[in-house]
Amino acid sequence: MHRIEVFFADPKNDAESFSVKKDILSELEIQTDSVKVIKCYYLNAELSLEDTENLAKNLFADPIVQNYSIDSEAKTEADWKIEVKLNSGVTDNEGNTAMLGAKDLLKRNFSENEEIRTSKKYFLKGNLDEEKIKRICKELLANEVVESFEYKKLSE
Amino acid sequence: MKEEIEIKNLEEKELNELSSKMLLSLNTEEMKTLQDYFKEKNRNPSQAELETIAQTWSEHCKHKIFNSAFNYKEISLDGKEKETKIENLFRETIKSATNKLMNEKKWLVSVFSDNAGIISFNENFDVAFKVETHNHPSALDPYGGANTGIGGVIRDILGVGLGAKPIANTDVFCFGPHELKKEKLPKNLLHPKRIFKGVRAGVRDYGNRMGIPTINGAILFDERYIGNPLVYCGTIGLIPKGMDKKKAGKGDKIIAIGGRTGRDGIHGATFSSIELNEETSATAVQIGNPIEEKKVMDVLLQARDKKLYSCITDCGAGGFSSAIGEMAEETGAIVYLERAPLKYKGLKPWEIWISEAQERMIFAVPKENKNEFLELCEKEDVEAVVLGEFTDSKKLEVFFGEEKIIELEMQFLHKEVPKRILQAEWKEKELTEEFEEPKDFNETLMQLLAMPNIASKETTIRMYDHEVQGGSIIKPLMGKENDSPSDASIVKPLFDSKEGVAVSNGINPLYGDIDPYWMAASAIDEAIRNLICVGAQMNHIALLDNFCWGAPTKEKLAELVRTAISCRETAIAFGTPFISGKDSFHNEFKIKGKTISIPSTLLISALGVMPDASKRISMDLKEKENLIYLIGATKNELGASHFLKLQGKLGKNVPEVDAEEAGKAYEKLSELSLVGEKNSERVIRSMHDCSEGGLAVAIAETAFGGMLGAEIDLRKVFFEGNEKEKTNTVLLFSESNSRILAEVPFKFKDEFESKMQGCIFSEIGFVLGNENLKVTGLKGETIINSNLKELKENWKKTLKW
Amino acid sequence: MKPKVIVLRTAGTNCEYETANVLKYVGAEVKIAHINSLLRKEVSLKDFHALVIPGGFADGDYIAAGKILANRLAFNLKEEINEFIEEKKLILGICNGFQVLVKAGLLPRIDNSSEQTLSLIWNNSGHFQDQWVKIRNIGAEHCVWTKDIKSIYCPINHAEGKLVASEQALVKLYEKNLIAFKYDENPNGSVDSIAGICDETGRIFGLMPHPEKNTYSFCNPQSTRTELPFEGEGVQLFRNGINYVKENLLR
Repeated sequence: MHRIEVFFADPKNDAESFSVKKDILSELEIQTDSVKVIKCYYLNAELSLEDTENLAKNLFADPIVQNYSIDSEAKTEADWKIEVKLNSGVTDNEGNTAMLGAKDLLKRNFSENEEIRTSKKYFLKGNLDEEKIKRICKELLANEVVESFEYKKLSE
Repeated sequence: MKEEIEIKNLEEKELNELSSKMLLSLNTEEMKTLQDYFKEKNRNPSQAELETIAQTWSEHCKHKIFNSAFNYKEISLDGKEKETKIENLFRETIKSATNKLMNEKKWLVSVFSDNAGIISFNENFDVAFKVETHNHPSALDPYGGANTGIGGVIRDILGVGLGAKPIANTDVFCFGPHELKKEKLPKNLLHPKRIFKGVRAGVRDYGNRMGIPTINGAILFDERYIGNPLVYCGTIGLIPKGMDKKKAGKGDKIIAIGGRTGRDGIHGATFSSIELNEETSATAVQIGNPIEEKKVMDVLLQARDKKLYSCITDCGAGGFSSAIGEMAEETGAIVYLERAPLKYKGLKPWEIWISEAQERMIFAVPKENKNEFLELCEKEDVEAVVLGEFTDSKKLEVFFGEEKIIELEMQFLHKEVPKRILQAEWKEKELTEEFEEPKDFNETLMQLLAMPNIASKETTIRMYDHEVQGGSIIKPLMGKENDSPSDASIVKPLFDSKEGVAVSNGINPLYGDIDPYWMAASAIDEAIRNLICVGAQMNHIALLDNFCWGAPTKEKLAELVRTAISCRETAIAFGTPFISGKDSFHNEFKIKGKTISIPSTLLISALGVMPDASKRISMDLKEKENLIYLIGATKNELGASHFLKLQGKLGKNVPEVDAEEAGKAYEKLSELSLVGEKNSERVIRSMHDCSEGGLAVAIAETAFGGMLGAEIDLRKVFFEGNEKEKTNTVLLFSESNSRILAEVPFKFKDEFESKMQGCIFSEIGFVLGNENLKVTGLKGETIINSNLKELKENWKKTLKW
Repeated sequence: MKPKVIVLRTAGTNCEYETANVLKYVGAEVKIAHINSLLRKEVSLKDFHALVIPGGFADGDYIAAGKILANRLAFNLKEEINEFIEEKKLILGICNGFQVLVKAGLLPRIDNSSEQTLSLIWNNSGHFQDQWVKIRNIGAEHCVWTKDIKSIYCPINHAEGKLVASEQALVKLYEKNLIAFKYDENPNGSVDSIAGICDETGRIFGLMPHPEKNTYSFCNPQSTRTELPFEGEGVQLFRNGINYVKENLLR
């Protein structure tokens, strides 16, 4: 099962990361040096690496402003990593649309069990500790009623 | 028939325990009625049967409180008691007003039945309107809850009659203070600002994707909404004349289309009858897929115009159970539940039956149209399945594979639930009114404009699409800089006809803190005068009521009775019938034994049909030297005003409504609105009503619109009451009802004044060519001299996020 | 015979009716067709003189606005579209339609290449914006759609309207004079305030704002303040397209 991660090459074009950084400051009063949001597509389907490349290039990543990585995390300078996922069973509109696009591009059908699920990864750099990260997760990035989150300290 | 739940031999106490354990929300009498039915059948019910009954008899679906009998007691300050017996609150108040007006208002088509109220629009179309609340889920998951709130009300319109095309959305929100300090936020509650942002985005993302313009709304803040935000979502739809009636026939196929079924919202219908507490279940929240609903709408409108089905409704609260149960009420139905497409494996049959998964509609399709209908769904990429068929058995029979899981008589299921007699007690409040006079009226005006209830909502409003469908005539924000708040919005839904639909709302829970009777009258007056301000016609206005209340204690029930009685009296006096309504109780939050209840909040939504939408009037001052009139009397009514709120006070003299006087003025303004074609020929160039913040805020807002100043002389304002109470403060900040500022070019002065003869009005000033707002006080002194740019900046700052 | 226009829709398209309305107003015969009917060959582009892709949220804008529909045009309808273009027929993309054309490589189509060289991404604000804007015609005189139009006052209703271009692409846009409209006041951060562009033939054109929403002046928010003619400023753009068909494509 492959996964594709998509992110903006130039922060100038990354409105979402900019918004999240702003909200962390204005809503939670937590200062960060940088925030980078990465969109992840988990392909829970029978797909070759070649097909996966095709999907990454022609469906998920915008060729003008985005880069992608397959089955690996792009290098970022960050201190903490957070991942927010929709709970299983909760409708994933992006994931469902991704399936549609995949069907079109690869010109094939998928079985009932196959699906694409999405998640968001947040890479944060700054003077942060576990307590602050937890607040960022619980009070801003994730709604625990429908989503779950995981975080990990990256720097030593 | 699988017997799953022991009920035949239970004692009363055990019946109550069962109801509680299974989250049925049924009281003792209802449980006993249930027990009797199964005793007679000599068997026990299946789980699916119990869930079906609970859902059908739920507060949400049956409005039991509103249909109850009441012993209403009024206790005045001097201890005198007055008792009134009411047999059925709804029938004797809201419904009775409409009944009384039915003969006169021949444009009423369908009221209080079906999914929405319907009135006549033009010779080919009717217009439907429905407003609903989706409060409890929005407290848990603001985005998802609001998403499905708007999705649900849109589906109500899609499923009204044989299907209406949504042409506009409205939304009214009540939140806790956005600047609430973290320490004051109870544990496990989401911060009001977070709820606000989530709800705002949820309604926006769904409505925008459905291609329905969101054109009217309001946002209010109060500490008491902290645990219980209120999310009122409304949708207006257009339906071809004659399609308001529907009826499933024997042999018609039951076809479900749209999204798949999951565990979403199990117990949503019964859940909304319970108050939230720290352990409230999370399965009650759903996630929406607006594109699925859009596709369903695309199928529906084509199938409707091809006359492929005989009946339709949406799957809302209670899912398949309520939709099919409703449609089969007169006939009977047989359902093969194993055919329902599922989101994931592992659902029990009863879960599939009552799931509230979104974006599903049920159609009754005559056999001969089945193939064409299914083909249409396929073309639009909409999943459709034949679940069963309508019969004439008068029974609801549901199978899951070989097993029968439900067999209930329709008559029992839809019977009048045992009526209750509720006690309501109103104690007249002992209130005082003491406050500090403003030291600087400029400063007070600045402060009022910055209050969250009054401040500009521009940032939020511009997140919603107002233009889609190409019929937007008066937008939520108008004026020279497109940033000043319209009193109502107008859409012209058909390209080849002139008629327009105007929408407005009236809401002010603060007045209810003094007397809910006047809160209701004021809300109705506000909604109506808002419509009049854009040029709507007084003789073609319909109302909707939406009650959001705390728990039904005898005090809150008294507030309910007073509000309902006022609705009746005010609607009759204005000649504006109610066509639809909804109620939501138990909007309370219990934490550590303490209860935070919302203030009793009535929302009145108003719909006006305009014969010619091009006669619209916008609220911004147009030209210098035009005269400014104030229609209506100003009284010493600072009670529950925002002026007193600035000082943390409630006050005493709440604004009342003189519907006879107001109605007269509104009729004359309606007539004047029709005069003139070109802008230069219009007798009235702008109108804006006085509401929160009184005359001061109203004149500032209309000036903001034109970026033109105004010079107002308070000595010219018509005051009604004790002369001793006539002060600058009262004249500027009293929130007396029924007052409208009208801008009239000097050349039309005589025409205007002669038309308005017999009504209360006064010429209070004129439009300036500069950007100054100047107000002269009772002693001839200048009490306000402010720059519009500065005032505007302050007004925009508070909610600019 | 009237000019025949196909207004393309898919799941989530929203503006097809008002777009079809203004096209009819200026003399076209309009068919609103679902992409499925094109993919299944029930409807053929051959039968039309102009293809218009209206606004909306095609496929919810999930993944990226217009991407799914763009891929369908670029990969599943490639031949039909190329034939359409070779026959010197017209293509117009409004808002979501512009996003689709750009992501399918149908604009700017420099040197006939169908490679994507521009994109339309999230507004700087990070959210949907509804506001009236003035766009000014600053070039692309060869563009069929924008002939003799000085400016248009009409609304933007979008979340992903920020035009971005690679350095080379931007240079080419100026070099080939493909920029038709710029915003007077940049609402979303588009590079150089670009609001609408065309291809080298001038027959394929796309813009983010919605001229069809200003078909009638009474929809113009300033119309209560100033006297305006019945016909709105947005009509001429469509009239230009239909006139071109009448003069060049009708046999």
